[in-house]
Amino acid sequence: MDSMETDVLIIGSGFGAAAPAVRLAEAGWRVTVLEKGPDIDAPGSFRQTQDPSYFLQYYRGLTGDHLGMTYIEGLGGGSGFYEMISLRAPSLAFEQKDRGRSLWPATVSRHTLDPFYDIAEEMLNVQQIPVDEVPRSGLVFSRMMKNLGYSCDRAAYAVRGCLGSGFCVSGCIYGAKQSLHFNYIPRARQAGAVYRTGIEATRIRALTEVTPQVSNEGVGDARYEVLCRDVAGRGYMYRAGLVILAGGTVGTARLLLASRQYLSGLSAAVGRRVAFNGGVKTAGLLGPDWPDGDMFSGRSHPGMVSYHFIESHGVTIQAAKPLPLQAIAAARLRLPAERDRRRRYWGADHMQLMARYRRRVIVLFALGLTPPTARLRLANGVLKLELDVTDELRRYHRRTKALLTSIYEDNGCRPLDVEFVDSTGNGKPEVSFTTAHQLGSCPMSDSPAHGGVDPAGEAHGLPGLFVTDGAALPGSIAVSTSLTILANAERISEGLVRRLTVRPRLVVSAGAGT
Amino acid sequence: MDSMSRREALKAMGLLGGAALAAGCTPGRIVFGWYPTRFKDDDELVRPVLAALAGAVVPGSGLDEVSLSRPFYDERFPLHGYRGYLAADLCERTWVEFRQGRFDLLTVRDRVRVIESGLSADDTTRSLYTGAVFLTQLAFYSGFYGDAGCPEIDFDGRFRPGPPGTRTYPDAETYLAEPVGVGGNYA
Repeated sequence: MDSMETDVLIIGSGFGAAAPAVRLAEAGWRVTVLEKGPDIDAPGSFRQTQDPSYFLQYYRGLTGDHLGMTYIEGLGGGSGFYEMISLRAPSLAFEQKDRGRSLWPATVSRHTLDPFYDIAEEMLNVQQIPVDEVPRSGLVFSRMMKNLGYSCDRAAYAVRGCLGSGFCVSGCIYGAKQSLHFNYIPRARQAGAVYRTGIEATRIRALTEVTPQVSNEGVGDARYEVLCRDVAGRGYMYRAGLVILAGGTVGTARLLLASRQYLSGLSAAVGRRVAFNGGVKTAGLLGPDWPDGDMFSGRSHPGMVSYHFIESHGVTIQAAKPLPLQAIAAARLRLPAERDRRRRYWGADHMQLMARYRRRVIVLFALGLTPPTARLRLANGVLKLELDVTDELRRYHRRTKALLTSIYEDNGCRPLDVEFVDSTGNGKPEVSFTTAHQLGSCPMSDSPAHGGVDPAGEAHGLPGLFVTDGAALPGSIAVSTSLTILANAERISEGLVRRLTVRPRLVVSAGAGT
Repeated sequence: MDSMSRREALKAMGLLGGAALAAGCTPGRIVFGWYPTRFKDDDELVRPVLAALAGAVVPGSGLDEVSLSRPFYDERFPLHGYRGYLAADLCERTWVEFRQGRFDLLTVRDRVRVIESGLSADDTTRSLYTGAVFLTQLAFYSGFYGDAGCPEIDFDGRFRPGPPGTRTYPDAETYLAEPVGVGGNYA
């Protein structure tokens, strides 16, 4: 087994990894970034396609009875494949209570994150979409809200020179989407960070020969070894003074839970209170007086977001433009039932609906401040996802769906019959959620009883072990999570650079380094 | 509807007899391969049946049968190993409904009836038919995987720039509701 050493080992290469890679490398530390998925040469690796085998190179899923999570394995993490919508979390998100206590640490709020949102937005070139680039489906959604006296905002995106190809989720072949490949990753490399792809970290072990100590100057002698394997099954051992977990909410939970026996003091809260942004999705047919939408033209996220119900219902409302593969893989769509029969989700009925899909179907969804009631746990080495469908969650689902339905109906549009399906095409329960916005598998907290890391991102009781990805964010935020993950990672990184005036001293035992 | 030969009828009866023995034991029939050998060995028999299935799931697609049955021959997809059984079951149900065993000779309307019977059968059979419908739709609406798109839903498969203004409306301002945020963000 090869054994290597580095000052800082970052596990994962997405939004949570980007900031520490740049900031710590620029501060003069030896930084190594490990990515489990394949290398991505952006934009050359991307394709405009609906070929499932292309997506399966990068997309991964984890499914429970009532909740499914999607995430990306590949250099740059989700940044290559997300819809590039980049929004700040509303203040309300940071004020959520969970069982009577504040979900977020007292020192982390929209106000304290705003300077780091500024940095993240500058790095990604986040700009509000110009009026003349809002796709037709977004305009139709906005007019629906306007008709009812509701507010709606033009959203912000990480993009330069968008052509509106509509293939954000398969990667932008024009390099317009400002994924991490065009900013953070090259800058970190320029500062000396080394990226290695196709390498999975499987275990972290705290080296026990030295008592970890935390001081104001640095993490002192805290150190870890990380067992890894590559795609060919070859083993590697990394030793690092500082380990930063940034493999995403799912990946970080898997690694921590698999390492529990080697990480004495790891919080019991890991994997226990996972948030999922409460996505409720619906579809409708535009009424005859409505202008066409367009599912296939313009950027994937159609430009508009409504905060009108954030205070009253705890949700934002947005339109969506699923490409055919996404729509069919996610749901059985039926025309509204008629008196004599329920329409089929296949055959002639479905063909009739899909012929109208591009122009006359409008998809609305809500993201909500739902409580962190999902769990990730390891059972015989396999990561399991569970969701407690509480009465509160059922009420949220019912209330939110009714709200979305009312927007169709009050605008003279007809809600479609939508039944969500699992990866085999079988129907899911009525109350079920899918998300790419999973958060909080190792949440920040003021006390070890309620979370895995402290507000500075450092694991309670495990000095030198940090979490900077979505796993550290304690609750749902009702908007896309990428910018908040990045801003929080910038905040933690700034704290690290400020705090670690002393470089970590690596102690490599005899025989290592072969 | 074409009439069956005596031999075909006997085979179909044998299939039904086997089905009776294995009633309530569809997983066993699949796992142990308890279905007529001809559906395991004769792709000339199986392929038209699966193409006919796809033709009923996405009727009027106008695609050739090789494309239509592609998901059942693709090793990356889960029904690859079950296509023989699926074809046998479709023909068995065809016999039960229509007293002839060639699913591929049925009209689309009658094929729908047979597929409905599979979707209403025991759990394993229902899952198999649900998966077959699902995969067929996935393949079709993803343009059979390639960049060709899907003309039936006006999907190009890849971006082809249109004239200026085709992505939005020239009077976009008139569509906009009152904003409440700053730069797209809510405080």
